[in-house]
Amino acid sequence: MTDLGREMTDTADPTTASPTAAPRADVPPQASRRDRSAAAEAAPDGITLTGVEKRYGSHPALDVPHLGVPAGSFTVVVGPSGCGKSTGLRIIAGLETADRGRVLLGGVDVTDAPPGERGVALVFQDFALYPHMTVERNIDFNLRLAARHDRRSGLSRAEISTRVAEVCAMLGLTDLRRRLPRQLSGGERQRVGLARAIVRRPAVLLLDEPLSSLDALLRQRARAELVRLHRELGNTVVLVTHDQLEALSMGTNLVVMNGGRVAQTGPPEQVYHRPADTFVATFLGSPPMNLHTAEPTGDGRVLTGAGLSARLPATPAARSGPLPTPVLVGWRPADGTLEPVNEDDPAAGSTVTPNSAAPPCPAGAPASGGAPAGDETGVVVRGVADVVEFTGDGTVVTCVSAAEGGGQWAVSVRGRDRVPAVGAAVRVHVPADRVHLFDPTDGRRVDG
Amino acid sequence: MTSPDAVSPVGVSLGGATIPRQSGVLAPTAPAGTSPARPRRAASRRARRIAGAVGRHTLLLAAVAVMVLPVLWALAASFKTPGGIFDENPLPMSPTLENYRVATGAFPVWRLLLNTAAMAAGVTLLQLLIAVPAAYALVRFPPRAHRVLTALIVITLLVPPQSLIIPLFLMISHLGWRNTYPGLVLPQLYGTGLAVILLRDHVRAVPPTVLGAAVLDGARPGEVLRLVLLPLLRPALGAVSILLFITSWNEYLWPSLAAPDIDHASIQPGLAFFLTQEGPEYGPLLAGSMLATLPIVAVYLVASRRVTDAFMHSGIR
Repeated sequence: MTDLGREMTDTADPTTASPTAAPRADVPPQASRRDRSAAAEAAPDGITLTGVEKRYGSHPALDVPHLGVPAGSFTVVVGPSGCGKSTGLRIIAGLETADRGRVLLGGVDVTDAPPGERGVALVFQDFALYPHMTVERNIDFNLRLAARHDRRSGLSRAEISTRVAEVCAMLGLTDLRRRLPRQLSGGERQRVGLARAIVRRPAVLLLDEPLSSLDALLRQRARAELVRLHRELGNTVVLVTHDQLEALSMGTNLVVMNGGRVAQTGPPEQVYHRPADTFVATFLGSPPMNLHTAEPTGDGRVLTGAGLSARLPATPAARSGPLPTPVLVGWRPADGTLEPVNEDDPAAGSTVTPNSAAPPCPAGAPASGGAPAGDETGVVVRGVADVVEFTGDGTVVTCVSAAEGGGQWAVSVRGRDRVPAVGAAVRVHVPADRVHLFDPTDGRRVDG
Repeated sequence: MTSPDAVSPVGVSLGGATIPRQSGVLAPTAPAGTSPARPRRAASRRARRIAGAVGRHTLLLAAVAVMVLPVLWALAASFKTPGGIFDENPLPMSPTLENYRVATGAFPVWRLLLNTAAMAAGVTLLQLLIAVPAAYALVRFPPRAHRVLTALIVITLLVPPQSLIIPLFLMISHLGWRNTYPGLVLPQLYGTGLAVILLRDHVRAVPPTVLGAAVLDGARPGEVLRLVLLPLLRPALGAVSILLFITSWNEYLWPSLAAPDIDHASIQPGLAFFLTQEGPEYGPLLAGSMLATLPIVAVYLVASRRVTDAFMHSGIR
């Protein structure tokens, strides 16, 4: 398998390096291996999109000034449906042409190259198997075509069947080779689609929601299989999905898209822990991040909002300038810890709006009793448990804010920790380093 | 009634299907009920349902009879002796092949059949050659252009063919194509629009991702058409070509004008040769008609399996 992996990266480049075909014709077969590795060193880049725009009528489907996908990465493109992620994938594959901009694969401009000559393989959402061909024919279709188009550089029949056998063994399809697609289960079809894509050893493997038509159990297994496959092949994989769990768990590189634009890129942990804006913050993670509106008071270190009070650390490292007013305070449900409700606390009543008598947002007065005591930093949120959902690993408690206009928020309780009863008062503390601050006008992150 | 059965499969299958149904209707009426009330209501409901079924089937049988009887009558008559043609008894009491002998002997029936087959095959083939790429291209157009082009194609179908007869006739006369196969075949291609419209829906049913996959696999446009689209369209092509073949085979007006010469005439106008100066010779005429129908029935029997083949929609997902 390691041998196959090396082959994979090597072969990648003759195709991409010469999208306009032919030049390999004069290379004798025995020299091709050396030739390939030389080319591989010369073109280390993965995928680069520059100034790519695509419109459908007046609707802008994609607008990407710059996007780089590192070579050899497992990049997951995630976003809600209609965000342009599939369009982007189809533009990279060449099935669609961008109105403007360039597409570079392995450092070579392939904007005008036909799809078949880009060294790109795509696994479709519906797998798009040829219904009239057996599994084997489905898999070797592209190799046979290549052999027919160019007898000298194409593979011989023996080589083709060796390759197909290799891939079939790799994906457990050996016994199904003579079947027709209609005789296969969903998972088997998915593997055939995958086999068809990797048999040509593409430099870039594109996956268009390949797991969405599988049932839950199969999806879990296929996810692990894809990650393992990527490790073995070592090529650049781009997977498009609308499932944020897939996005976080599978990739080494994450691209979050929204409304045809790239919202954020980076390793999944970084994107998850430091979302660039409120869209990314709420799109990734389940349940989504809680957002509260709050007003900075005093020296700007203390924030108050409906059912919320916060004290920020003395000098937030990367923040430039004062906080916007108001500011959006975000925290993930899993980052909050339940704290004992102080009976003296005026906010601790079991009624929904204990604070309604007090004027909202008392300026300069750090939240009646709810603020972290003394110099302790972080956010304290108060509310009443409204819905309690047991998820197995833990429990998600959806709460109604203790103050009017505070909206709803959720907190995850881990393991077998005590869970508040419905209607009970809840007080949650979030450590300062887990608090996210956003500008409510444009949704951008303000704390660097 | 044995000979009609052999020729008309419709009669056989329908007869076979209806007779057992009726016998089943009569048999089960009184179920051995334990409590009297409920079975009786169930029985009355059942009787009503049966009555409805009988009524429907009677109606259908009548419709079938209206369509099939003339054909069966003609078939039976073609085996009658010249004197017995107008007998009240529909069955040929002393069946004879005399009419067939006269038809095949006095007139070049085989030649006419061959001409017709060549003409119909040529028309079918050429129409498919035009219609398949046209339908493929049509599907690829953006929606608005697609609608406009489809409307234009449908309009060509609304033009009555008779209105084109004179210009077409003048054209082939000037080209010197009277009594030639090109003159016979090419003008019949005006009906290609129908094939385009029929195939368009089938092309549209092919998932675009399958065609995209072929393009990504490096297939050139011609190869996508030949190696992927055509195999997927095969059942549809079978159905459409049967339709085109039968339409062209039954064409009367154009062949009678374009190729009146017996060496190029097709069978339908050719049957007119049996209408002699002395009056129509009904026996040989009917025999000729039966011979003209036979190939069509054969084509349908051979190819109808293609039509019912559920190949297309089973392989995808």
